[in-house]
Amino acid sequence: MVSKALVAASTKPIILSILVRGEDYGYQIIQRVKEISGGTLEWSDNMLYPVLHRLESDGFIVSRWKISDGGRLRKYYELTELGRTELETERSQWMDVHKALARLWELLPARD
Amino acid sequence: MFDLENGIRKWRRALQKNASLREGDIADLESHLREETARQVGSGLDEEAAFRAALARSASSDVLGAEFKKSLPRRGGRAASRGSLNFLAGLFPGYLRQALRRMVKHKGYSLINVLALTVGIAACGLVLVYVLFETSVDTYHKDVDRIYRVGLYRKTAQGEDVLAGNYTPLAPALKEQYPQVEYAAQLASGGFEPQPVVYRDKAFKEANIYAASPDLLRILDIPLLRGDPGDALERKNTILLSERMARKYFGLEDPLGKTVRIDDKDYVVTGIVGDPPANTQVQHDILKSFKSELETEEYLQGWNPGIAGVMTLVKLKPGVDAAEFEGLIRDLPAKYAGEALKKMGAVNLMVLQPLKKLYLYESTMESLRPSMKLVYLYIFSAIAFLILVLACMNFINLATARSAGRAAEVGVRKAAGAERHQLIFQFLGESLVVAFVALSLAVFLILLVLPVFEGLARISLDGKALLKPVFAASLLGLTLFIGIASGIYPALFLSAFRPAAVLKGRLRTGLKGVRLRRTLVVAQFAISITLIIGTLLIAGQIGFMRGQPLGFAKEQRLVINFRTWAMMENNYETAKSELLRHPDILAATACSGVPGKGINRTYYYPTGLQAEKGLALRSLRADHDFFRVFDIPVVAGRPFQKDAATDTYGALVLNEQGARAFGWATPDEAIGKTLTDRPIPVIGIIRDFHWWGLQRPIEPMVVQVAPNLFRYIAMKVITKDLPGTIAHVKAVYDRLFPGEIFEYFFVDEAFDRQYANEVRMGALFRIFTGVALFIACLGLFGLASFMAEQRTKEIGIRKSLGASVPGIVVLLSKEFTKWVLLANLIAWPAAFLVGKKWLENFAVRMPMPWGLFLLASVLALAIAGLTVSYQSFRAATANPVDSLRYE
Repeated sequence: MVSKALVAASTKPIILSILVRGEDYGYQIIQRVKEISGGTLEWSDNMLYPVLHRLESDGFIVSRWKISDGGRLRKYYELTELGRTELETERSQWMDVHKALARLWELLPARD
Repeated sequence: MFDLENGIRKWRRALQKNASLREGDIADLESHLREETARQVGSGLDEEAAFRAALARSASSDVLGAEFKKSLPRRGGRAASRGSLNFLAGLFPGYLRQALRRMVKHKGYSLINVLALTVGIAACGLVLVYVLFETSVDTYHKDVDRIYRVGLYRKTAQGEDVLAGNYTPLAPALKEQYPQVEYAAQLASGGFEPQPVVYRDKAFKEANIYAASPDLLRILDIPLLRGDPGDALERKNTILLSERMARKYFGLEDPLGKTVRIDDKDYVVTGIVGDPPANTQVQHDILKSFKSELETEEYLQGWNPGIAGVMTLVKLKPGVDAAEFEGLIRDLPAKYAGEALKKMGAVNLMVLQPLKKLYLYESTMESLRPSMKLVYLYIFSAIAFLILVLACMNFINLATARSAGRAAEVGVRKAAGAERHQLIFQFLGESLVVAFVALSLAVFLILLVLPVFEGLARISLDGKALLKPVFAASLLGLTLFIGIASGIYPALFLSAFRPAAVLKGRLRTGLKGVRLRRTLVVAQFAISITLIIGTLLIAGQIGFMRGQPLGFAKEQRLVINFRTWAMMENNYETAKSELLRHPDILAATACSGVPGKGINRTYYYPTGLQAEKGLALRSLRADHDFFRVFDIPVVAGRPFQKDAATDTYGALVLNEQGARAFGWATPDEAIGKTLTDRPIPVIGIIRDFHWWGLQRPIEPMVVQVAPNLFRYIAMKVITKDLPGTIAHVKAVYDRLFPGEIFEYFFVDEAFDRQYANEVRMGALFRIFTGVALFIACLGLFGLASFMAEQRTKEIGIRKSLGASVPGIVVLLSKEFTKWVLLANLIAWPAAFLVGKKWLENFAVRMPMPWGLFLLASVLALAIAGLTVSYQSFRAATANPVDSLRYE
């Protein structure tokens, strides 16, 4: 179980990183996250969708409805240029924090 | 049985109660819920359990509301947060653009829709034009509600009828004696044949000649452009010309005061009137003053009940009650001609007929007949309406059938925040756009086709007629109606889709959709088949009439006519013998008329039985060769003989009907009996023959040798060199009557012209049937292509399993075939009822032609089959790999 604060902080970079690989839809994003995290991150619908909407209104992602071959209607999201830029920003921020922690926990040499 | 959709519906409703959850949010959540449910089902649960499990994993409505609300302030983008009205207004130009974009994208289906609607609207527009014209005839006169014709009702022992003509002195008598009458006019037409009109070097035969008293100009809307209003039609031997007549004979010269010769009499032009419009029955190109006729025509004098040949028009003063006035004048005949009427055993009464109604309740110079015109007006209006219905059905069918394709779009809009009523307006708007595009094209089509249509429907319009507000408004209203009527059902149907609804290949409401589609196709074809039967029926009846034996020989009978009785009376023997000199002219007869042409009625009665058995019979004057020329058999007694001197004027021949009408049971019984008080013996009875076209029954007829009334010479001609024979005839004519215009015609052609009305109606029927069939097939085409598209996967599988192309074509076509066959069940009874009614108008009618019904059905089936099989074939021959690839 990951703390709520961590989950909240990590949703944006995770979503953007998943979408950089190609467009995807909500339900599938949740499945991928569960897979990649080895089951520790199990996002719920009430957590994901509001975030998706916010990301969209900020202009980082765009959505469109598509009908699958099985006849199902799904809302697909994909990354915009702005989103790619934002992803880079997020990544460098995370890496900064990660490096600090990694040094503190002796995972990295302290100051190289 | 658990109903997933129901469960989801309940869940949605609960969420909708939460104000923080927009429709778009709910859409996302529903999509998610369905995915989860599907996954649970995948791991083995039944649908109900799966659904509950999925629900459990989702948050409650409150939590959801709170979460979404948290992101609310950051929402600023695009359409999501706009209110309904903003949404509508902001998207309206977008609607238009989008609607047009959609139309271009789905070019095929749009074309079908627009084409069908265009043709439908054009057809209705043309019928509208026709109806507007026919109902406007003689309704434009000033104060037309006060204008009446005084008709004459006659009842004798033999029957009753109402005549258009009346006693000659009636009009002046009415004006003099009744203060209710503002104006009263006499109007007489110029006879059956056109009369020669000559001014200097211009000589033509004119048909539009009337004799009228001065009040005519005050009753009918005939503007006097030049001349003294106080003098117009007042003096003897004066005429008024219409502008176009004046131009024809006088060019740029001033016609006033000049003398024109009409049929051997001189008339002075005292005025010019405006040209008669197309929508009046009185084509007043030449108006002779009635006084001129009065003096020369002896038979027009006095109150003579045997003659009712002068039309009387009255204009009542404002405020006069017409029914009351009719009551006052009803018994005038008794007052003026009581004696004569009593002797004839006849009752005559005056009848007021409103001028407005005279056209559609048609009359000839002889009697009032309920008009086929009105019947045809109704029929064509009904057909136009049916065609419109067809086009609307097309639209509805195609729109609902293709609804699956629009589900995504509906989902998007709803997700973006659209409410259902907004979507309804959007779809309605789209159908209105299609309708108005069709309208613009239809207007072009109407203008293009109008001249041909005018010719066929025998109407003529000035261009202004189309600009009349009534026409434009009706057309606009029609288009609006079509747009809404076609669009409302699909709009309601499509807007009901929920975003993220599961579409399992065919719509869950697919079953309902199929029933609707079938009903519409069946209805369309029922209408089309009925129309086809109607067309075939008309053609059949015409063919039947033309093929029936008439009782006389009409082929190869050449006729020349003579302008005056005087020309004939003294010269007919000479003319005949000269004509017979030509070897190809086998027989000739002089007569007052030939079958198919006009014939008067004369009053006869068995001697001494005037009151009981007096009758006005068709009265033919002919010489002794008539029956031989026309091969009419004599069934009793003998025909006229040349050497019997008393046969001229002193003997009568009746037809079988005539003998029966006077009460003699068999033809032999009639021989020797006498008619009138002279008395004149009946010397022979001829077999009944059809004088008129077979729409009318055979009437009693009497024949008399009366050379003073001969006007034609009819010849039996068998020749290989027709022009040579005619040249001979002309030579004889010119020699005997130098300076006269030579005219001839053939009896069979003139006779056949009596069917002109039916032929014309047949042509119009063919056109409208073609239109209806075209629209129905368009619809079928679109539907078939759509259904084939739907089943490409199935077809692909079948083909890869070894099904043959013809096999697949049959498979796809089977369903439509059933529908068309079903349509017959409706069409046959409908066509039978209407057809029977129509045939009753014909005196001689063909038996109900079931063969034609069958033909119509086969035709419809064939056309439908062709339409469907084209699509089926295309689908069947499509490469199965392509359709299976996307699996």
